[in-house]
Amino acid sequence: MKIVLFRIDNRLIHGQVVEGWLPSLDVGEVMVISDTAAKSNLMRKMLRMALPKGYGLNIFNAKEAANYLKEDNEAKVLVLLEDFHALEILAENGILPQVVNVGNTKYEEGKKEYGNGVFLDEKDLSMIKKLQGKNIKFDVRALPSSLSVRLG
Amino acid sequence: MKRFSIFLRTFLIQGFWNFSQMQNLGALFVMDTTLKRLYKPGSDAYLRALVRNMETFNTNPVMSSYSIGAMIRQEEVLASSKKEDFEEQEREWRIIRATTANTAASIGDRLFWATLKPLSLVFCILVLFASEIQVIHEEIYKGEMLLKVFLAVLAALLVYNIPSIAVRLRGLKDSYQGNEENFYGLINLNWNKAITFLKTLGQIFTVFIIFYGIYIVFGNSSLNPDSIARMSLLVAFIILSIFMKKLNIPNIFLYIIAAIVFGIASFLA
Amino acid sequence: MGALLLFCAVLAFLELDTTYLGQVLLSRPLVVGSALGFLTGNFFIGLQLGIFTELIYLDFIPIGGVVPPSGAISAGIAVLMAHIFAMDIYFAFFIGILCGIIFSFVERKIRRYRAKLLPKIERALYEGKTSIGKVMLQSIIFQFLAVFAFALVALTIFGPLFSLINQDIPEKLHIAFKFSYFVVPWVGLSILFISFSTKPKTD
Repeated sequence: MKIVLFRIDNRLIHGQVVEGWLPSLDVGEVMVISDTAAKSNLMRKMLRMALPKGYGLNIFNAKEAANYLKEDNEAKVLVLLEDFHALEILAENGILPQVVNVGNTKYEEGKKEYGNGVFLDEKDLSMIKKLQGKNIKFDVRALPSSLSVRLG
Repeated sequence: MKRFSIFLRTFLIQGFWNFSQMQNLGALFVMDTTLKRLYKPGSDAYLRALVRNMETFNTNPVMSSYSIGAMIRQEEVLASSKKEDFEEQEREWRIIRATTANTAASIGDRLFWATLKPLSLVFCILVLFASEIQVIHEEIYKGEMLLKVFLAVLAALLVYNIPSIAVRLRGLKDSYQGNEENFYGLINLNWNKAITFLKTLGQIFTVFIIFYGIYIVFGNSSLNPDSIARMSLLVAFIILSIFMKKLNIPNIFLYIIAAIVFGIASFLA
Repeated sequence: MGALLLFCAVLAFLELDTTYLGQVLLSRPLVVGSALGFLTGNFFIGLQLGIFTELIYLDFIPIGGVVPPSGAISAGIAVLMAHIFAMDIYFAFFIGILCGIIFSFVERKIRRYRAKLLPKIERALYEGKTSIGKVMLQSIIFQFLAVFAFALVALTIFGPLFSLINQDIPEKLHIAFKFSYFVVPWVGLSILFISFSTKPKTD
């Protein structure tokens, strides 16, 4: 399995992904890693609807995703993660991407802004530090044509 | 539900666009009439609904109606739900709100921003060509043009706005009457088919415009070193612009760099 | 002076449509250019600047809260520069593009400022001290004034500056800018074609 892009985006599939990233990448399949989506029937259906025809779609929770990502095949995948927590679980299960694109995280009071639509608190930052220690680089930008903001 | 007044309010859904919670207050503004209808202003239920409706919200403005109708419906469910069901229904409200917003954004950004907007520009250029106003030519057009340009601009606005206003209106009704089974009314229209059709149409017309444009600009000039040099530079720029697109660099930067490079080069030459 | 204020007000009103009020494309460069071209009596120039601006801006789509350079500002400023300061169309276009880019930074500041105000407004709404309708109205008036001020400042800085050096601009520079200007529609049309590509191939 060839992973073309890892992206953290709380909104999962929406305009920036389908109109910004997908046309500029050679991807055949989108993989959504989200505990909420994996559980909710409505979300699964709506995610399928949000994706243009012609792309494959898989929705997993983080644990199942790690196993699936280890499968040996030719698929070219864009991986969408709900939040940093999902990335941490992947890392614990042996999936260590080189670069992770951070597109959007949920705003909550007390979080600081790091680039367009990316809000992080102390807890997120310490998790990021830990992941950077495992040689994962973070690239904060909403669209391929946006300027990249460095984290940490 | 007062569909028309809610419809009008959706034009202000981005009225307080902000970086932390995006369209949250705009969404509250659209929902306001419903909240006032369902709850007594100032009551506990009203205040709780107010806080809930100020949570982060973001979608494509035209397709926002597909979220609004579903939200109004679920708000009605909440207003009449028993105490023990309330929390569960409120959780459901959040999921409906977020998923309809994201899916509508995904479809709306593709259909309206990325397809219909450029397509409406194509129609405008075609109308101008038909009225023999060769807008891409260096020579300033001197003839009577008020009515022709007015029609061309009107064509561009109508090509975009007739479908967008229809979708805004229809979205409210369909998503209000919709449910999980029919994706809150989103399934009623074949979006992917519409997008593919319009894009193909756009491609055909654009090819026509390009060839007609070449005819206008170069059709009358004889082949001399100067015109050949100009033409090859143009081709070079078109190839460069495709290259820039592949590198995800917006083409206004190609223009700015070209202006600066030519400026410097003109002094060196 | 009165005319200048009127033109800036028209531009500010049309720009509102980009995000805050309407989204019916009254803010597209094509409309802004032709409208201001009509008002200033340079109809064809306004139309051409509008269409060229729109073509070169096709790369930008305002998806999911990304703030691209403002096409409305670019086209508007370009037309006004050409009219008020008798700037050549190809220089006016260049200045317009620069102003559109600069404005996107201003717009970002404004959206950040709104985010900062948000907790206070939410509290006021909760306590019944203001109404959501009032908040929207204030927000839109604020945006109108911000764009109005930006246009006025941009024109009063770049315009006189240009008039100062206009006589001394060498012919060579005119040719360079003129040529890059007439490359714009061709680059734009090729982006237009790419923007209609359907990927992946659907059945």
